[in-house]
Amino acid sequence: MSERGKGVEGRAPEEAYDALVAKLERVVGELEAGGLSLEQSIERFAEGMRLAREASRRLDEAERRVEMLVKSADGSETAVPFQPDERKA
Amino acid sequence: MDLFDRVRPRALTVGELTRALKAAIEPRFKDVWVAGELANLRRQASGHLYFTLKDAEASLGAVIWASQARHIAFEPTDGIEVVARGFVEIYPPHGKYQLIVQELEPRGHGAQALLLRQIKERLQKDGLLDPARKRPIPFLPRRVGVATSPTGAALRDFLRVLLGRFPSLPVLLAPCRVQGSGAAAEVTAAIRSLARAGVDVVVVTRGGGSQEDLWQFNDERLARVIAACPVPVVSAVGHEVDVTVADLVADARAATPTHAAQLVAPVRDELIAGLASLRGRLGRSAAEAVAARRRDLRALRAELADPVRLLSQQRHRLDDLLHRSEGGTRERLRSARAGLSALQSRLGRRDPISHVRALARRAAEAHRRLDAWRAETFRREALRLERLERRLEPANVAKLLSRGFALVLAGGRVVGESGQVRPGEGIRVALGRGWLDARVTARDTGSDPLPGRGDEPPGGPDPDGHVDPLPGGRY
Repeated sequence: MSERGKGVEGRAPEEAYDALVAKLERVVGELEAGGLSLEQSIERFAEGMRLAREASRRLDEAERRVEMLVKSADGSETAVPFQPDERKA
Repeated sequence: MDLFDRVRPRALTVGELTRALKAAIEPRFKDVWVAGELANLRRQASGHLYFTLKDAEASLGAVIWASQARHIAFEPTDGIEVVARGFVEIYPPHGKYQLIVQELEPRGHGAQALLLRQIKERLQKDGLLDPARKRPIPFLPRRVGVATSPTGAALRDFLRVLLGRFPSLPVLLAPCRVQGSGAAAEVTAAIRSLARAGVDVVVVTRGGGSQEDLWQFNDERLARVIAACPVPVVSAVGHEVDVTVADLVADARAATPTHAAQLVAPVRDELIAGLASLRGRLGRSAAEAVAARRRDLRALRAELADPVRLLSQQRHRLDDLLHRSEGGTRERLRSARAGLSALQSRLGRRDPISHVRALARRAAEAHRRLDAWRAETFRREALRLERLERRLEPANVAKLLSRGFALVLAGGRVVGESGQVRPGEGIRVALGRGWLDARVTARDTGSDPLPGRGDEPPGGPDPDGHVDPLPGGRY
């Protein structure tokens, strides 16, 4: 139970995709509502562009990779490429 | 000695026999499993549970002490088949033996359902079935873990839908058997391996099957490992109607492997389209913010930065006003002009310049007359003075001197005060006729001009100072 909430190991904690997009939506909403000073508008725009770039990167970076864990002789586990059997209907 | 007495063995007491039986039997049946049907179930107020285990052949009295009775996971009733675990005890006072039951489990038909209920109740008691502890499935996992058979249709269906929705999503498979004895332990190990390897979500799946096939997913240890998994677990075991304990404990339950893929992976193309739309709105709204400022600025500049136009506008407005009031204005101008010339003529009659000139002339005349008067007055007074001087001065001095007054001179100057000369100095005394040269023998610088209050004049006959106040006679 103490391990709950731990994410993928060995990766820097980064913002979830949906959190990024939620932020981007808020920024766009603020800009569309108007009422910001020109400086604030430009600042929001830059922030929005940064969020959009980051979200795009998140969608593009993943590389198709299906792997399977196999136990080695010494009991440790390694991931090897896995080709699902698609001959069956 | 009776022969019979000799050959007959010594009689045992009841207690001795019973003790012997107890010693012979109880160690042999210290831990036995006995199967049978429940009968004559009696629950005492103390909590002890008395019943009979029987089969076609025999009956066995049994008791579960209250302390153990509390731990029975099902409700024992007459007629059900059970397996009891315990030890045989002989109770000497009643001469009976019975089974002291430590554990009691249902057996045969319906036993699984009872066992399942027991497991669920334990999980419930530990809070593992609480809906509040279910975690949300990540919107876009960085890697998806799957615990299933590498050769099953479930994996094929799952991957087809998952990679159809998000083609580049990484997947890590932990192979395990999903049916048959020992499958639960393999699935448990697979979940643990995936958590260790690092995934954002774990999917446990297998296709549909019989109740017996799915039974492994009711394993209590598997359920506890699912609950303790550090990342959310999606359970997709069997078909929609089959609900296993694993389904109950998991953070999300999918009816089928295909459904699990939909829960775990968003559609990438939809995400890209949504992102493009947001990016477009972002650019448009930012551009609009700038354009709006530019419009404002242009409007302001149009108003402010063109004074010529602004003046021209004002002039037009003025012209308009004049035009509108022209008739009246002309009339007023004419009468105003007439009034003005009248005033001018009146002013001409009272020309301030000629008025000033007249005043100046009068002033000059007054001045001249004043000068004349002053010159005349001076002249007259001068003549009068001259006449007076001529009449007065010589006559007066001579007259005074002739009347006995003297004029004292020292060094050519008239002496008016005794302080002007010192004793021993020579003085000339002018008289009415002739003069005397004398020498000062003493002086009194007092203020009183008459003698008698100071030093006695030389050879003075009046030592006490009393003299006739009237001058003359003595000099």
